[in-house]
Amino acid sequence: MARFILIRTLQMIPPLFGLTIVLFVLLRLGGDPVAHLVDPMATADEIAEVRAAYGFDRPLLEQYFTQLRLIVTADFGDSYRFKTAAMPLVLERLPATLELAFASIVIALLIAVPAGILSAVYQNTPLDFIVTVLSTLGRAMPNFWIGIMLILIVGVELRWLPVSGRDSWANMILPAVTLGTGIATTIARVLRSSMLEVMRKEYMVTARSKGLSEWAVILRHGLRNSLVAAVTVLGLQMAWLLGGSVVVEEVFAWPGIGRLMVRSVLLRDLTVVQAGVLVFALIVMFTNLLVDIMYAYINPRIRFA
Amino acid sequence: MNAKRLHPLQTLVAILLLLLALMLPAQVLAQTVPGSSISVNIGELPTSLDPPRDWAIASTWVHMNLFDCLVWRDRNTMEFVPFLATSWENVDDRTWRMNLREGVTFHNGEPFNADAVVWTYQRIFTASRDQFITFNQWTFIAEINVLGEYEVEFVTRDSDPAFLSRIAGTGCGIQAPVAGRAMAESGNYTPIGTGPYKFVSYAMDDNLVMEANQDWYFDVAQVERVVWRSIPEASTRVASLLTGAADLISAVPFQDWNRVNANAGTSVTEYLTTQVMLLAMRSGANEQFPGYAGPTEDVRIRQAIRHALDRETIIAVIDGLGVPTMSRLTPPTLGWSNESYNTFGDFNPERAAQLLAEAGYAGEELVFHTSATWINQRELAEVITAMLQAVGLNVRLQIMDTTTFREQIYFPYRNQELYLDALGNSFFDPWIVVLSERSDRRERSGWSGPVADEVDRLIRAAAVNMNAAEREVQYQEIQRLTYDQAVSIPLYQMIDAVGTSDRLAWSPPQDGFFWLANATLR
Repeated sequence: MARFILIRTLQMIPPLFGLTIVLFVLLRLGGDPVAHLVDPMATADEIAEVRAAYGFDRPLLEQYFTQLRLIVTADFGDSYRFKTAAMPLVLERLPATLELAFASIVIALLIAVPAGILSAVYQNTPLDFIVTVLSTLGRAMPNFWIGIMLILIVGVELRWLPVSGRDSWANMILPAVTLGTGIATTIARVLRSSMLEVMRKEYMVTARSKGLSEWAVILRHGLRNSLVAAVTVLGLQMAWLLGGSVVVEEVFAWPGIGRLMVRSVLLRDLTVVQAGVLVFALIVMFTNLLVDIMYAYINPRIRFA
Repeated sequence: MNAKRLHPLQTLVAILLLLLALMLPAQVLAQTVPGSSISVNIGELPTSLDPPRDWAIASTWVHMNLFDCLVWRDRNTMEFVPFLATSWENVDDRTWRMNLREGVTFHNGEPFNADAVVWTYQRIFTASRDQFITFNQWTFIAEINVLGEYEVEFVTRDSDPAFLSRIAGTGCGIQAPVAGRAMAESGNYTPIGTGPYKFVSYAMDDNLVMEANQDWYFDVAQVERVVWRSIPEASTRVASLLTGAADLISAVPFQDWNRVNANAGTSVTEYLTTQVMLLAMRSGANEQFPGYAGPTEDVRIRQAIRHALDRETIIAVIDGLGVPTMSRLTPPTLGWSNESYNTFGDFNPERAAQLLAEAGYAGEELVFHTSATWINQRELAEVITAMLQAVGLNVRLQIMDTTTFREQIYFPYRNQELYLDALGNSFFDPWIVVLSERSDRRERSGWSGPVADEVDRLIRAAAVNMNAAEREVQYQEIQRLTYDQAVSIPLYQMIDAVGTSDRLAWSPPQDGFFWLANATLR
């Protein structure tokens, strides 16, 4: 197992290196950061002066290697906007983003697991139909729209929950539900398909013949064997979750990395964008590693080569 | 009913007590209400709490509550009032002498004195452009001389009639020198001013807390704690007001006004911003656009465009959120005039068509760039395009997001025939309004010729003219000439709105800035 983790960790290095190149090219082609670092009355000479001060007048290859050297030394350079080190700016927002991601996953599982099981057990009944329709609708509705609707209905009309900020656990519910419903729909559908397949297996018949109750058979044998597919999807959804957090954090004024990234992209704060994207990439990669490790616990037949 | 009469001695005591109360210094009477707190939700919090490093309007709102300047503008009349300087004297055209307020301490206990003034400004104008975004604004100072512990002398590079505007402008907050020098060494910055509120905490992009400065030399703030929050999404900001989570919010969208006013305990208050929306034109080639030879080089075509603009319709399109103007000089800025302010101007489509015919216009394309930064700007650009097309102009409208417009058009000076943008003037002085038409700053207009030369001469003369009456005439003439030549066409002064809860007694000042020292709770 330790060898497997080590190899998988080392395998992350080439994609991360590739990511630095893609990021650099996209960000440099995307726009000119100097336009956001000067006052609106700045003359061409003044703009050139600022460009030189930040090193944006250097050849692109030289700029890339300067940036790469900073990344390798875990420095990343200073934020152009905040004039402080970029990586600490990202890392101080990491707890908020992870907190929201965790809460979203919990909500997603609380919705998806019962929905997926019931939909499979009661296949082709009105209950199955309702779950399928809601899953499709939940997937089709954009995050920001769900968020704004929740603000209007639950926050403004019913006044049950706060609509913005991160003052208490209550502030987390609406953004977590917004993000969680999106993932829940996918997991529910995968779990349903997987359950339907498992329920036709011979070992399910054997379990029933041993005299176990129907729900014991479903939960102990059916669900456990269906979870591999659901956990795989959950791992893949982490990238979607972090992408969705960019919008949801903006809507709910949740002070996480996503919100920082929105402003940083708009104002071309390249060092912060680079630090943020690399942190996101690492989260996704480690989540996938965690999912691989979980396979062994869910299904003992799986072994690591 | 028998009224109980006071004993003469009781009457005398009552009168004496009343007189005594009236004689007490104001700060003894004004008291902070213990435990009182308000929540102020704005779009964005400062990227820096160091005033000269961040001049976004919302940042200025935060800075102005933490720091005091030497001279301040009364937020209602916009007149200059003494703050940390108790008096000033214009010794000669380039020298301003100021007496400083004694007995003032910074939030960390450091005494305020001449050293603080020198430290605050010298660190900006002796630095470099990339360090302070307001660098340009402070290079007017040649030197600051300390004449005594509470007396300083500013020497400006040229005669500077706008001295007081500049010294009361963005980034003017006086900073604690001893702590400031130590922070410059360590690189860790904490805002330490003398303002009505002192800094408590800042979670970047989330919330900023400040509390009333009990040692302020004017009436201490009645609200003990102000919590600023950043909520970029307008609908969430409005929701925070409606649910009672905020007492004051910025930029309430017009479509939410009725909802906020109908909600129990909240209301919307309009105010005039310093921003003027204008349609700017390229009149000729320059270094960034050397081969430019477009239709708007011809003054008759520019004038035709001006005559094609119906400000009455424009104001309707923006839901009435503007005051029509033909000048960027709006009240109370020196040089504003009733003739050009609050008027629909010279809409005359027949004259526009006639001018186009005289110019021999044959349908050449006019590229019209705009962003969608401001309220209804997209719709406005579409309406303007329709107005120009109605008189026979061939306009190609290109709408882009704010970032793209800034990076691709505005700063590389790649604007072509037309662009739409709003520009402000928080200095309330005309020098900055006309600066873009000075000969060395015409990157976007490429304007030249005898009238342009005359305007350049007037701009340079007005910038150093210490006679206010003459200066006013000069700026009016500059506005008249640029309007006649249709270099850029001001359309309207923008109106914005704040949302407040009924428990907060505060209304926006003339510039709409969130100066909260006078806020009280009902």
